[in-house]
Amino acid sequence: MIDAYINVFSFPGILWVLLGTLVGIFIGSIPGLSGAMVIALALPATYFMNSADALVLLIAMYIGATTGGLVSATLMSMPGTESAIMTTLDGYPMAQRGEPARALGLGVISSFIGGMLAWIILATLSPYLSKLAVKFGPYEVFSMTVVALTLIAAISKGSFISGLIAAMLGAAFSLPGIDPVSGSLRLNFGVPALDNGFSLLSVMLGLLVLSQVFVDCKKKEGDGKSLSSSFSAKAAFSLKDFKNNFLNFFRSSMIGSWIGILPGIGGTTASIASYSVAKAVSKNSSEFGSGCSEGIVAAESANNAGTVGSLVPVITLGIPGSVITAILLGAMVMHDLNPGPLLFSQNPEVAYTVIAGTLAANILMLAVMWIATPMLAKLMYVDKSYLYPPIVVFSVAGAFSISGRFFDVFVMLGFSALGYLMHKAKIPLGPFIIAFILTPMAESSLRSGLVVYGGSYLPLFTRPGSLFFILVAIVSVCWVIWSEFFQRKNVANTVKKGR
Amino acid sequence: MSKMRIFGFETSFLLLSIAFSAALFLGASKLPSPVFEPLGSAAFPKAIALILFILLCLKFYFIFSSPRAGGQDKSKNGGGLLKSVGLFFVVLAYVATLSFFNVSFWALTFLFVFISVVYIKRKMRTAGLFSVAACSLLFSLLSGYVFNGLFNFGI
Repeated sequence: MIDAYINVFSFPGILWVLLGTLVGIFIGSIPGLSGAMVIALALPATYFMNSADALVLLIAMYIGATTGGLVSATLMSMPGTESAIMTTLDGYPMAQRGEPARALGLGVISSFIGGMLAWIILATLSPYLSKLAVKFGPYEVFSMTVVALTLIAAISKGSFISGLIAAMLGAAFSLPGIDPVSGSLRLNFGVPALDNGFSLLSVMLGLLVLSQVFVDCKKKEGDGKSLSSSFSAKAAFSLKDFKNNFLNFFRSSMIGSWIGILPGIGGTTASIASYSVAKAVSKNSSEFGSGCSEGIVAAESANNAGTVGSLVPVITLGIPGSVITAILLGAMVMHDLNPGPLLFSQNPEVAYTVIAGTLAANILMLAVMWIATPMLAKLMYVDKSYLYPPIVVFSVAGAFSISGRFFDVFVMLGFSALGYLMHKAKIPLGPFIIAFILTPMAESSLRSGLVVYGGSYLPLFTRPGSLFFILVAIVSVCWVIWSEFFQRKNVANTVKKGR
Repeated sequence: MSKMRIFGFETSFLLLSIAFSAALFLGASKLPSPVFEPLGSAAFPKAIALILFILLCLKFYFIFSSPRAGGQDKSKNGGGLLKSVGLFFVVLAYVATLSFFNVSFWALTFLFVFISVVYIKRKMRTAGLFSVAACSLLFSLLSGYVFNGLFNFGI
């Protein structure tokens, strides 16, 4: 464990953390460019790195991108990343009334404190959780993946059915290639290039990067509001703000961390939940939304804590909670690691490097954000028309680099068209990616379980772990169907009244 | 974006997905039956195709049964789809030329970047065109060196 910390905090480990944090912050601060996009684009470059360095680089990008979103949220009222939505509510009004430095400073410090408190949970909880998870049998693993998929489908944008359709499509596209249990070929439809199935990188680059380029290329620049050019984008923070928000820092970070740990929920929901709680318990609740420091602290502490918290299920259970953690899981698979319960026993150096890298990225994020906010404030106005063609070139080269064949590039293009159509049809992409990654694990677990238990499904309901996960899945499905039913009823009533 | 347009996208997506689920089910039906284990390699694909089909039918039902406002203006985002589809075909042409013709990566990348920027921006002055051309050339030479010289991708 100590070795992992030494490696990360010495050369070249710290260089990867710095690079990842810088790139993540820069991309996160440009509205419209997401963390998922840059991490997916960076994946091919990590082929040439060792697994620990690669993961540290990607995690630093993840943390940097989450924090970078606060700059444009505060100065333009345009969140650079989705998880910074709640920051706009108080960050922009505070900046508008002449305190942009205070708004940025509060955001940066809150992100740092949120990240650090969540890191303590990550560092202490993960080893114990992985010890517990090692005891899981095939049915527990199967039911755990079912829970992850239902939760992700339930909470993702759009309706529950749309989420489930996306998940089933992702599962379906993961099937062609070699059968994970028997090793025989299946569903290649007579195309020899499909013998190994669709490459994860092609799917991710197509769905997350290229489809986003096609969606965004028609948008006009300068949609966001902006402050006057005379403002200072330097971050500043006072001890008074710290004292006034002491409890808020802690409470919001804890909410963010625990929500982040749950699959499928992530930083955005974490910041919404902690903002609502902060508003509910605050003496100044009427000031929320008009540039209140408590609002910025609640939103930013929680979204960074949620980001770090979301790493817990990835390294202990192998279950991604969001699109970005799904990419991180994919990166582990590409580097021949065994993500999940066995990571701590088979590759403890990698598991602890991830934890150490998170700590280093949080510390460097604070330093970079403190120094670079004036420059980031200018980056927000970059015309993205100039960035899209290079992004396409990087994606083409990345897809080609998988195995040196253009088939993967055409597959990427096919998935970009599918991603575009899904975006337009309001079908969420998150469940697709996560199901694409988890389905082989779910299938092999279920089939191994059936072999172990002599073809009986009964242990799925008699083993406590498996039963617990199945009950969680059933409850979440019932809850979502119930709430959607009432929502539809309300819409129908409103339309009737309108007539 | 008008609801009619979203409706069109939804319907096309659902029809394509139904065709895909049917192909998956038919493909799985041709797989051999299990010998050494209870489920076999066809069970999971069949189950997924079936669940997907049921979900798609449900979605169709909800689309046609839910109240929907019609007649919104289509003109607001009229050029959007065309621009996205146009860019898609520019990318497709770039990849196809790289794949089927023996063209130098940096030269084709220069052309692609220049054409795409001009296509996305639409209105540009002559000075702007020159600076885009210069930046595209620099980028293509640099990316050619990084991908083929440094990382040896062989693209």
